[in-house]
Amino acid sequence: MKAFFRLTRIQSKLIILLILAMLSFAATFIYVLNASIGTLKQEKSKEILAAGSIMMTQIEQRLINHTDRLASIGKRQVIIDTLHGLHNDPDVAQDAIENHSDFSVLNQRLQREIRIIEQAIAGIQIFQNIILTDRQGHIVAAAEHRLGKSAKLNDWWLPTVENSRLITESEDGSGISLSVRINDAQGSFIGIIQAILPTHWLTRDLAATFQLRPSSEVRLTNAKGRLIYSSRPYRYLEDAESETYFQLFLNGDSQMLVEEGGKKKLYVLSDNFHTAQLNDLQWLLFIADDLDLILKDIYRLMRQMLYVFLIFSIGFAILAIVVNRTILRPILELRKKVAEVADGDFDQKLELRNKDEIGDLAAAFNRMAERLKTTYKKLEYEANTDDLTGVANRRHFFKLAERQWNNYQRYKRPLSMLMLDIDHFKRINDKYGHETGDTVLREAAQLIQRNCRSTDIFGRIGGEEFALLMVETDRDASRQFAVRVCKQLADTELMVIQDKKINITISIGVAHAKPQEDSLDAFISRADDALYLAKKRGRNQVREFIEA
Amino acid sequence: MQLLKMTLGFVFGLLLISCGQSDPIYIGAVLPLKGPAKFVGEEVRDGMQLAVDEVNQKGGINGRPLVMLYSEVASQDQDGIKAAYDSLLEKDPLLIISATSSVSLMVKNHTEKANMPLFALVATAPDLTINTQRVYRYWPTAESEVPQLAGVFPSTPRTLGIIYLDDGYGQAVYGNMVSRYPAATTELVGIPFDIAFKDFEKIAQQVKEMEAVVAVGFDSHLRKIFKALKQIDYKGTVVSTTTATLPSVTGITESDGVYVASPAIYNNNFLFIEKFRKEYNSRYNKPFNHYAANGYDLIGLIAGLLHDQEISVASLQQQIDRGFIYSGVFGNINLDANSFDIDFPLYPAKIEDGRIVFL
Repeated sequence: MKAFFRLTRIQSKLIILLILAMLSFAATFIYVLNASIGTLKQEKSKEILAAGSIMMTQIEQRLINHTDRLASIGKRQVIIDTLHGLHNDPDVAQDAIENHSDFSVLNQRLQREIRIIEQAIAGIQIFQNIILTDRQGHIVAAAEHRLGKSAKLNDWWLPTVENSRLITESEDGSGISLSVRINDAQGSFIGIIQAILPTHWLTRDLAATFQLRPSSEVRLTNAKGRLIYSSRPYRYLEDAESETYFQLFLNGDSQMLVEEGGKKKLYVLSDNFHTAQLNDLQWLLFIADDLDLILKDIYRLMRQMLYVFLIFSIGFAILAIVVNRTILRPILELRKKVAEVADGDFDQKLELRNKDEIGDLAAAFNRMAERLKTTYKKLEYEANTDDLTGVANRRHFFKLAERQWNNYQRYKRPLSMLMLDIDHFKRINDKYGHETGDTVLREAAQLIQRNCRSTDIFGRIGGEEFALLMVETDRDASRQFAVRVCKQLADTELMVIQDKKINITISIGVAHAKPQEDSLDAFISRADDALYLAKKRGRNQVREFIEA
Repeated sequence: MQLLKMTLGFVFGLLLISCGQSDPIYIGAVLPLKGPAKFVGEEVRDGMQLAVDEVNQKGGINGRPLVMLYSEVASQDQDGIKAAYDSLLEKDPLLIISATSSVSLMVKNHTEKANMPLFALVATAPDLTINTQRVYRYWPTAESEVPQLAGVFPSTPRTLGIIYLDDGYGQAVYGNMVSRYPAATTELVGIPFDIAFKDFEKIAQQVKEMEAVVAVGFDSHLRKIFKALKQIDYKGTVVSTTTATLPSVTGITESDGVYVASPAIYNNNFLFIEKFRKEYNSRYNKPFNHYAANGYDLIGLIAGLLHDQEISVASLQQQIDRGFIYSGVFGNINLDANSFDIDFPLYPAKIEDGRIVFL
C-alpha cells in the first residue's frame, strides 16, 4: 500500500487500479463459479440418489410381483392338496421318495399343472426350474434329476421357511432365485415353491426400470462386484470389482468423479437399504451423469461471464486510453509547462484541445503564463533600469559587465571600458535646479545611448557618471567612439529652459582589457583612472589609460 | 494496451485449444441407396446418422468423433459394391456396416478376406453368417420370427397358406412353417412369387378357404396381398412378418386386423424409443420405422462396446467375441459369446386403425 502511494506517476497508479479491479472481478467470478459447481454437484448427487432410491424400489416391486406370481402358484388347490396329502400321510411321501417312478408321475402331473397355472397367471412363461418341496425339504416337483433329493441344504430353503419369502441370486448364476413358503388353510407350513427368474426376464425388468432415467449411465452390481445390469453392453455377472466406480462402495463414499471414455462423470451410489425385500441381494446401484451435462448451465454462465469479462476488459482499456488522453496526458503536459515557467521560461503555452475543465485549466495556465511574463518583464525592467535616464542601472550594468568580462577571460576578444562623467554638473543643478539637472542627465544619457551599438553595455553608475563597456572593440575603435561622443555632446544644445539652451561637456576615460588582468574591478579602475586624468587635464576630453 | 493485447491473446489461445479435435473414428457403410431397396438404405442411413450426431454431441467415443462414410450402391451391382468397399478402405474404417441381404452377402466376401468386422442390418439371408469369422447380423432371422408369428394363432390352424416372396428369407419362413406345422396337423400350402409379381388377386383366390394365411414379402407386396385378401373378403386369420409393421403398410385400411410379429419400438409405452422417435420425426419430418431404428441402435451398441476401451478392430472384436447383453431401442438384445446373430425381440401384435396394438 505504501509502495502504491509512493508511486510518482498517476498513470502507474491508474494501471494498477485497473488491474486490481479486473483481478477482483475475475476472483469474484471464479469464487462464485466454484461455489456454484460445488453446490450443483451436491444437489445433483442428491437428485441422483433420490432417483436411485426410487428405481431400487421399483426393482423391488417388480421382483415382489414375480414372487407374488410364484406365491399364487403355490396357493393353487392342486399344489396345496398334493403337499397336504404328503404332509398328512408321511408313508405316501416316503414311498414316493423310495419309489422314484411314482414320484416321477407325481412330478410330471405337478409340472404340467404348474405350467398351466403360470400361463393362466402371467400369460407367458416367466420362471425356470420351478421346484416344489414338502415340509421336510424333499423335492416333489422339479427337473427329473433332482426329484426326491433334499433341498434343505440349498441356501434358499431354511431362510424361506423362517421368513416366508426370499429373493436371492441363484447359486448357479442363471438368474434370481425366488422362493415362497406354502401354508395350508390353517396356516401350517406344508412346503416351499422356488423358481428361477431367468436373466433375460431380470434384464427386461431392470431395463424397464432404468428407462426412467435414459440420460444416465447405470451399473447394477452385487456386493461382490459382479455386474447385474449396465446401460452399456455388458455380460451378466462379469467382474466389475476393478472398475473405478466400484471404489465408491469399497471406500464407503456416496459420490465420486470418474474419468470414463475421455469424459468426467459424477457417479453416485445408491444401495438397497430401503428395499427390505432386496436385502439378501445386496445390490449396489451406480448411477453416473456426464459432468459436462450437469454443469452445462454453469458452463453457459461461465461463457457469458467470460464475455462480460472481455467486454469489461475492453471497456477498462478504452476508459484507460480516454482518461490518459483527456486527463492524464494534459495534466502531465501542464506539470511540465508549470515546471518550465517556474524555472523562468515564461514563453510556455499549452495547446487548447478540449473545451472541458482540463481545457479551461490549460487556458487559465496560458493566461497566467502571459501575465507572469508581462509582470516579470516589468519587474525586470524596473530592477535593471535607471529610473531617470532609462539606461541600465549600476547593479544591472555590473551584472552584464561581469558576464562580458567572463567571456573575455575565456575568448580574449577585444574589450574596452569607457567611464563618462558630465563636467560641472553640480553647477547646472545649482543654477537651474535639480529638475533641469535630471533632464540634462536624461538627455545626455540618451544621446550617448543613441551612439552605442546593440552589443554595447551602457549604464548609469553614479550621479552624473556613466559607464560603457564595448565588446569586440579594440583600442582605436573605442577611442574614436569616445572622441566622437565627447565632441557630439559638446556640440549639442541639450534643451531649452526658459527659452535658453544648455550646452554641456563630458569627460571620458578609456581603458582596454588586458589578458593578464585578473578582475573586472581592476579593469574598471583603470578606466576610472583615465577619467580622473581627463578631469584633471581640463575636462571635455578623452583620456586613455596608459600603463606607467 | 499491453494488458489488452495479453488478455486477447490468452482468450484466443484458449479458443484455439478448445477447437482442437481428436482423430475421428471412421465407420464405413455400404448401403443400397439406389435401386429397389433404396428405401431401406435411406432409412438405415438416417437412423445411423442421428445416432452418430448424438454420440458426437456427447463428446464422441472416448473423446474421438465418429464419422460415417457412406457408399451409395445398388443391391445387385457387384462391381459397384466392390468399388464402394475399396473406396471406404482409404479412410481405414473400424468396421463396415451393410444393409439388406443382397448387399451384405456381396460385401461379406470382401470384409472376410480383409478380416474386417461387418455388421449386416435388415439382412435376413440365412447363410449370411454361416462359415464366417467376422460377419454379424443385427436383424431377426426366420428362425426367430416364425415362433412369434405362430404365437398369434389361438390354436393350430388346420389349413394354412404361406404366400411368400421367393427369396432366401421367404423360403426360410416357409421352411420353418413347414417344420412347425407337420402335415398331420395342418394342411400347409406354400405360394411363392417373384419380386415383380403383381397378380395377387389370383393368389388370394387360392387361399380363400384356408383358415389362416401368412404373408411374406416387401412392403409393396404386402400392401397388394392385403388388398387382394380384402377384395375377396377373406375371413381367416392373416399373419405377416415385421415388414408389415412399417408405416407404409399399417397406413392402409386393408391392413387392419392383420397379426404381426412386431418389435417393441412401435409400442407407445416403450420409453427407450421415445427420444429416438421424437428426434427422428423432428429431423427428417417422416415417421420412424424399424429399419431406421436398426441403424440407430447399432451405432449406440458400437459406441457402448468401445466406451472406455482401446479403439481398434482387435478391441472391438474382443468385445463382440465375449458376447453381451444390451438394452437398446428394441429392448434387450444379446449376443452369446462367439456367436454372430443378434435378434431383437418381437412381440405378437395386431394392426388396428393404422396402429400396432400389442397383444
